[in-house]
Amino acid sequence: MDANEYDNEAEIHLLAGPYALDALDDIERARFDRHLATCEPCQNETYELLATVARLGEADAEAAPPAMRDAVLAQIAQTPQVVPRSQAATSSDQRASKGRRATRWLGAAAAVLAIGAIGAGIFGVQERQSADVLTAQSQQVADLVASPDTIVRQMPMGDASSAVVMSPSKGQAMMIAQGVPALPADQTYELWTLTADGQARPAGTWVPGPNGTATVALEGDLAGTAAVAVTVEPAGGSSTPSGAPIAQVVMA
Amino acid sequence: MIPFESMSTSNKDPDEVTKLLLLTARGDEAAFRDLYDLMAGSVFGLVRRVLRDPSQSEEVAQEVLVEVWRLAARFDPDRGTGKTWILTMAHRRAIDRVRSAQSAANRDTAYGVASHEPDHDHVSADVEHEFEKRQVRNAMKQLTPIQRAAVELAFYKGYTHTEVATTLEIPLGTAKTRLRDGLIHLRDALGVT
Repeated sequence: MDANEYDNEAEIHLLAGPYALDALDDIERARFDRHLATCEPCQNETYELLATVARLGEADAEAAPPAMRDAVLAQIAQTPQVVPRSQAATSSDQRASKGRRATRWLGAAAAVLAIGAIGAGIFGVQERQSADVLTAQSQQVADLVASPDTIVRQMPMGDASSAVVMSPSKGQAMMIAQGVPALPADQTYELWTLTADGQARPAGTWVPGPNGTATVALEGDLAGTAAVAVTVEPAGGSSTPSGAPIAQVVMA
Repeated sequence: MIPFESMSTSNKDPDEVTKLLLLTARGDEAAFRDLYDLMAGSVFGLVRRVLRDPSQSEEVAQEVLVEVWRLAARFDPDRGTGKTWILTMAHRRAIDRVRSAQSAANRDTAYGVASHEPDHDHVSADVEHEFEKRQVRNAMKQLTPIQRAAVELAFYKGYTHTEVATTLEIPLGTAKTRLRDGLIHLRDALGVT
């Protein structure tokens, strides 16, 4: 078995165990996600092992603190849900097409994670939840990345991590962020695209999700974008930046 | 207090959680409330088993349950049950918290700590839940010492396979293999399909 340790093809199937136990680092996880997308035996094994791990977890069930129920229900009342990929019912006659969709989804997630690797770890090796966070817009990001002229730039934002992915030919860009602090209700984050002569064009307001993450498509005309910046603005956003950027990155 | 009988549903109606999760995905808050009542104990217990600290565990469990609401549309019933999806998320979040809070050096480096039996301070009155716990414990006992150590370090301590290898002084390839064949044994012993 150990003879295969450096034999990637033989070894990758072994990762189903560590994968199900969350015992992989980001890069290996991305590698295994890519492998899963095309390896049906590994998919089946992985789903079974994930179910096994869930059984281990279930054995530890104990009564949750009573106050948690109210807290969660209050929070979900004001938490928007991600848009369903499909409103289609889940009857068994649609299993085949759903299976293909799942495969594409895995591919997309892998592509997104690959960006992390390209960008020298957009979120750092520890930040494994980026995989979950990014899957909402993963197809969109993956499409963007598939464009040959795509630029990926890390954008330091205080203690938060963020990156901008831009395809000039598609005229599309997205910002992906993690660890972003929440703002008071009367403030919002706002994205800007900056032209080479320093003109700032509003590119949309956003607030991080409950876990401090955000995946935002930049709005407006991206032509001539030399840099992207983020400011804190009054709720509703501004048409010109009212303060110094908290983050910016050159996209040229 | 949430009754224990509502927590251990693996032998009852395995589809209830999945059905409620699919309804939750369509924005059904009443379904989410029922889902909460079925799953909050498992989520909290799992997170607490990993994190130990009750208030941190409550914080993370709460985050997970809100994420269940937010990301419900992402759940694909073809890839497993709703319960697996939720507990997978709970485990990952708990592990993320462990890894970001402590460097590997700060964690218990002696394997002995991980091999202790769960030290729950509550007494579960529910027979079925006890049965489930005993099943898992018995399944664990059937593993070889190295398999068991590897699985426990990864599951309860958040060790990566590299850390498992270092701690148990085994080659990395062996650590990967033990994690996989250990889980496969557990899968068969627990009758997971």
